[in-house]
Amino acid sequence: MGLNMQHTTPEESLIYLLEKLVEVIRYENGYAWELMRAITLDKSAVIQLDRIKVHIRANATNGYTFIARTAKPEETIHFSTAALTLRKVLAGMSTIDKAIADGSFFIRSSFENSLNMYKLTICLLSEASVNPSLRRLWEEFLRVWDAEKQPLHLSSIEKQHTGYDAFIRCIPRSVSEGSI
Amino acid sequence: MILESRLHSLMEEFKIPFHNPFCPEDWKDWYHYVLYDPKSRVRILYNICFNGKPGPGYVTDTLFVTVPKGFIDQPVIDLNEEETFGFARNRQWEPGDLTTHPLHYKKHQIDFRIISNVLSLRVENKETNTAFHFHGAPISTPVYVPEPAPYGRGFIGWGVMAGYQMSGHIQLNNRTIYITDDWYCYHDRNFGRFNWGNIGWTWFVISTTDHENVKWAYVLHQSNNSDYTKEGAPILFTYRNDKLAKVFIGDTVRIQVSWSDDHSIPPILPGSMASLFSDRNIRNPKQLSVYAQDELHTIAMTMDVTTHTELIVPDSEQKAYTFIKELSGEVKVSQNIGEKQTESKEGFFYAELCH
Repeated sequence: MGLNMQHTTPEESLIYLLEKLVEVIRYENGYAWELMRAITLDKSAVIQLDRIKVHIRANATNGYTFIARTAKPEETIHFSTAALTLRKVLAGMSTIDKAIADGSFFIRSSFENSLNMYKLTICLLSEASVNPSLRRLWEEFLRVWDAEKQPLHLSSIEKQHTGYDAFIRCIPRSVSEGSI
Repeated sequence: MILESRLHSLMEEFKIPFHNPFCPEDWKDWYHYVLYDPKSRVRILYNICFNGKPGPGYVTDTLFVTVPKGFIDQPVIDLNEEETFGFARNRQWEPGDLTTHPLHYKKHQIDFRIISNVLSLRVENKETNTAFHFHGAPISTPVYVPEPAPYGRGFIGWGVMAGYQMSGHIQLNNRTIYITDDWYCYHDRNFGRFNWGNIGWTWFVISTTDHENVKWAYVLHQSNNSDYTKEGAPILFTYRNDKLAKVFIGDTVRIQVSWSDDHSIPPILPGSMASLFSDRNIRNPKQLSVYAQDELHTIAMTMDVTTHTELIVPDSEQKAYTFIKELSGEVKVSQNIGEKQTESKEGFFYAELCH
């Protein structure tokens, strides 16, 4: 059953979309599901999208149970991004690497967990155009979450910077040159 | 006898048997258009591809617009450099979106019709602030290959209209480009059952004018597998003033691609594949040469690549991808088709190297 934005808070909308995403991953892609379990099982995190914060956690009840609620203002954010950034990545105007490097994707996590999140995101991107459930979820996200969206600025493909060296460029010169 | 209008109808007829509940999901059927303005050298490619069947299937539409640098959003235009704008999107193919008699697809900012061989195509992409409307009809000899050829693990059939009269306009950001009678336009069709990943092709269309202002067009197609260890027989169609004048097949055609010495990251069409393939460093195609000769005639063509973009297509059933390099630029043709040797005065090409 779909969600009606008029009858819910933004937090409830985000929880609904996250639960749908977990459901799609659980039933459609075994590899992504194993990554999802490794990232979330017996852990908790605060996710922020467009300044809307929700708290998520997962436990092994009935195999796997995903629980999400509105986050408290004082809770620390572990992952933050904006709908505009997600749209840019899906349109190919930014890459995941570049978004992480320029802070559009903010992640506070262990290296192992960050790596698994990266793998899961790449896995979902590789399926994004051909998996009907992911396509439907994306269309629902645009409709429910980002209905009043502005067009992305059209720029030429020649200007598309894939940002493969973006992480290196983020390192302060004093660190990369070993002066501290 | 098959009249040309009947042949056009056969070619444009939608081929996927999607009303059959057992219709396989590896069916593909696409409508491909190329438009070129000889004055401004603006060129447009649009493709709409139906994949599978309503429900699990999807519709892919792709747009490339190549213009002189600065043409879209700068006050100063640099005619020596070119830039390409474009999008690629995949949308759900839902039951009821497509009717086939006459052909009419309406959904997701696309209104695509072919009625009595006349095209009407209205497309909008609100995400990238792009919109266009093309209206047109074929003017050249249609070539239709109704016998599907073996292709990958399946088959492919196709048809070509090397001359198409179009009018309309395209809007990119706040710039509007008008398509008028003096544009060269091309249309082809491909349909069949195959998976992306284990197939490929070399294709181009060339439009030239010789020193006596005769219009020439050339269309080449050769199929291959993804690593080029298997190649089909090439076929080269030659048109004089929109009439089919000559066909070269098989060993009479030689194709050569020259590659850059250095490696670089190719521009990738916007889409979710950009993040997946952002770190490849590859050599890029620089020039295509084609030489065709039989007992009667010869053609020599040299195509200098000025724009290179790439489209990466994932397969819905297998973890495999096909890489389509979109190339365009200027061409020189020397030939003796007809009664005498002719040289091209001006000309352009649009090519795809796919693997």
